[in-house]
Amino acid sequence: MSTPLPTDAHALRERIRNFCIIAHIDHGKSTLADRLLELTGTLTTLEAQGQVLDSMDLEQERGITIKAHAIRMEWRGADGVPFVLNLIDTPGHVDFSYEVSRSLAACEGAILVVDASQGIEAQTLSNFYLALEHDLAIVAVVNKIDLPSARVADVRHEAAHLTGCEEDEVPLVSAKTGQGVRDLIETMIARIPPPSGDSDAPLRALIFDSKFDQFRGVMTYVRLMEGSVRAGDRIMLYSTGKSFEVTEVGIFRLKPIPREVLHAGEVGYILAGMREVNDAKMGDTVTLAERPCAEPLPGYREAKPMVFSGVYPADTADYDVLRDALGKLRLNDAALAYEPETSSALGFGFRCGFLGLLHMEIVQERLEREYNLNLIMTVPSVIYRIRPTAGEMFEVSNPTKFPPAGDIESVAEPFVKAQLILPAEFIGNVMKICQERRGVHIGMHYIDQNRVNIGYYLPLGEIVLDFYDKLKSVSKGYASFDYELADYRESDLVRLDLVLNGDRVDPLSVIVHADKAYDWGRELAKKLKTLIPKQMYAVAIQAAIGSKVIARETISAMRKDVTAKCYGGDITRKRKLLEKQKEGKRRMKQVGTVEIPQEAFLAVLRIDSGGS
Amino acid sequence: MGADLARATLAGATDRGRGADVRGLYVHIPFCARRCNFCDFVTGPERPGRTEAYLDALLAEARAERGAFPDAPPLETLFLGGGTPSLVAPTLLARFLRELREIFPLAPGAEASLEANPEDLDDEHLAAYAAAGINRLSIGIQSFDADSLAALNRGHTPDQGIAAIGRSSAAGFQNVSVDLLLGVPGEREERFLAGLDRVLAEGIAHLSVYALTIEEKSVYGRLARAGRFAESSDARFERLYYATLDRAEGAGFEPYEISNFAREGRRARHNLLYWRRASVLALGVGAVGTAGGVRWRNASSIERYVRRPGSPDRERDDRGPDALATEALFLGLRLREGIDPAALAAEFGREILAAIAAPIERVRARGLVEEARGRIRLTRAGLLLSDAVFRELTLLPGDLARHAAPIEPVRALA
Repeated sequence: MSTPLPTDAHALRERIRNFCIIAHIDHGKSTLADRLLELTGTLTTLEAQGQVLDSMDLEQERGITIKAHAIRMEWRGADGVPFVLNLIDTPGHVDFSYEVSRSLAACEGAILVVDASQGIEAQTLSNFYLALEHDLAIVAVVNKIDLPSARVADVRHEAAHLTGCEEDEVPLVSAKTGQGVRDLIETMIARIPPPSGDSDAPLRALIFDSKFDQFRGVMTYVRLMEGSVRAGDRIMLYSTGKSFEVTEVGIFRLKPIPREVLHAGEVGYILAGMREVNDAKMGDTVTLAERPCAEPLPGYREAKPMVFSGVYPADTADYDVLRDALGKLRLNDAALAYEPETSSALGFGFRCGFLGLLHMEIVQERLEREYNLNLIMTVPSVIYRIRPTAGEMFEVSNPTKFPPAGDIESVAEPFVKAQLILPAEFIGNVMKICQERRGVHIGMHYIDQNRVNIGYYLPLGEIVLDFYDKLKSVSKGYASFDYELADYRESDLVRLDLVLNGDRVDPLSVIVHADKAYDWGRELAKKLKTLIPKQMYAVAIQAAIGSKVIARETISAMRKDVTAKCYGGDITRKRKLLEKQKEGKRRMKQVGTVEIPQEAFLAVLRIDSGGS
Repeated sequence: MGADLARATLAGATDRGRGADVRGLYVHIPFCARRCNFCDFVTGPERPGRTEAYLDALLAEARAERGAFPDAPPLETLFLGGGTPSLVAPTLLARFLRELREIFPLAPGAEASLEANPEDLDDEHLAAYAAAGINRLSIGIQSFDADSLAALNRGHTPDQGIAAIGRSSAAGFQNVSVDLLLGVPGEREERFLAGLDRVLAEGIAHLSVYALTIEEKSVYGRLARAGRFAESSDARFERLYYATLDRAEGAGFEPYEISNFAREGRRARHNLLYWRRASVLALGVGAVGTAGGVRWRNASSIERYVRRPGSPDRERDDRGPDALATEALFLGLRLREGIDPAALAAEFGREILAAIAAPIERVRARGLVEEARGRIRLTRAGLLLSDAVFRELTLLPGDLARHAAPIEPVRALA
């Protein structure tokens, strides 16, 4: 016997559960989400075979979700009493922690998924702590119990220990087969509280996501904490004071479904004629223009980029295409910051700010794939704080704007607090690479018999290049790590320049620690020697700090570039070779008298900053 | 090229035409007694029966091509290349040539060339060739240094090389060309120059000097990839090349193409057809022909060629206007006479001049090309860096169109 959902706002609210699923990457978050959708009848089995929530190709390839999604499911237990389960999907990567935290703020509970074969890993912990900070009711669940390598009892024990509950209170599931998922839903309903709030109070809604739709404008995803909203209302955004008229409100199942009204406790969307996602900032508070709430919701902050890179079109004719592409990407990515920039070597381009390396890679791939652009990216850099000998402290993220050494009193660089989780056998390797990157050891403790959690303060500049890959490679893939911004510390940093035949190649300039400058300079010069083809003239490669040359290599001039025979059978082949070479030349960049292939710029990224 | 043909070519000709423009014929004989270390051609050993079958297949293809090109006039040139055409038994070759000439007659005064290895040129061979109408020999001497010949895996000695030239002359061949290799690893400079002087003194008509190139698929190529091959230095190559140029000129040879030197009236007419982009038919495995603006290449398998006489597998190189223009540029510049901007404009439209203006200026500024009597040609320095010049001038699809003059606006009718 099934009863319908109550229509009274207060009664309905008692039946709502707002929750998210958090986990370390690949522990099965998305599969579990799909299974929930399937079991609640939100998705047919067929649709559930794809992972519905990951809508971009890139996301599917990397197995991560970038944009938060919200889906409303309905569930009737054995007794037929209906509940509304609002699943708010969250990005899993450290680069997007602000987005994660806003999604958590929209929930009352979290399902913490732990892979039975992997156990607790770095992001299991960091997400858990984040959920704790938001006072969420946490239901730990052990997933992938179907795997032959599952260590169910051990991991259940770990999970119970972490979340402070009894072992038999940790559900065991296989999101893949569906085993245990029904029970999980019942457990969740029992342990996660319904939302509070008064739908007659002034509107106070949290924006936890926004999405630009080319036909409808910006769709703002909201969780109403207080009050209610309907079409025709005039809303105001707290951070900017701007107001908009609501044209439609609704909820999401897989698609948006318009509703007459949204009440406190509900999760849904608002359409109000906004033109870019910057109008609907993540974490901002939505209220009514005529009857605003007294205080905005806490925790709002502007997304701050941490990693910067110069982005240039390989073909200068593509500048306009790049500019338009960035504009379009920005419509749906409020965290992407960019401004025009010029380089003597690369011409006109942009300095882009990203939340982190992953964000940067995603943006680069999207630009290349969706807009067919061939890009040159400069070495990623962070924001340095420079105290000059004369004048106020200022921030610099572009190495070419680093002032000459004589004008600098001190330089401070951002440090992060990182936690690394790895099997004990790799402690030595991992500590070594952290030390090589000027890490400061914080502490170490065992999280179980075999694994340790090591804390390090590390300069952000030392990890933006390839720390993650290096970490994986010295730990046979077992180590994981997570970090948060800690503070700024003074360091002995210098700018290392690359000079070709007397012309500085500014996209190759990097900020490095003085102790590493010689090694870097030598490696860079040697690497470039192999990447730059012979030219008509000899090429002198120099690595320099200021005017001091610290490494040099020479590429001798080309003297023989001739084809001996060119008869009937040779002509087509020769022509095709010339065409291929000409195409390659088109992708080169001219710096002074020297032609540099695109690969040379990227090759800088692959220099081992550990110096080995 | 005639204007009609040019238009047909630029329009992306798919039909090879009726052959009115055909001027020469190339025949490929792929058999070799051994594989030289620098060679990457498709060759195979000569065996009784196999050669005859192959020659029969050549004639079958000849008949088929004759049918395809009813308007082909008597040939100005015929070239038997290989492989080693001189490996074929003289009587067989003579019979083949007789039958071939019935299908494709030679014009009076035509040049009929045959490639030969010195060790094959005994009196019997020479007499047979002369009787069959061959009037030009291209002898693959490569080097006069015994050590070098061994290193290259050639089948003759230095003396045999010289003797072959003498015998050819004695047999009445006045148009003899010799191939020499430059940059044989380990060959000492003095030895190369001594050999060069020797051959220049022998009264030959034509000399081809080739830089040894490491082809990927040759024995040298394999050694190089395994790191077991030391190439001759660029500096030495430069010295020897220019020394060759100077000595050849001094001995009365004109360096009319990057690798080719000829006494007066003795340029290789068949090869000139390629460099001047004329239509030349081709028979045999791997042979490349051009007619009516279409170029094709026969497949390389000897077995398949023999199994399907008269209808070899062919692959086409469909060239758009930019590709055709690129060929006109680099082939033209390989010749000392260089290219004529006015003629290029007549053939491709003025846009070709706009398209190459900046690159020409760049290479001119580097001293690699010069203008002389209204033509543009490689300088002495440009010869050795000619590929760099060609690369600058290479046009990619769309380049000509981009440089085409804008269409005149239509005037409003009063």
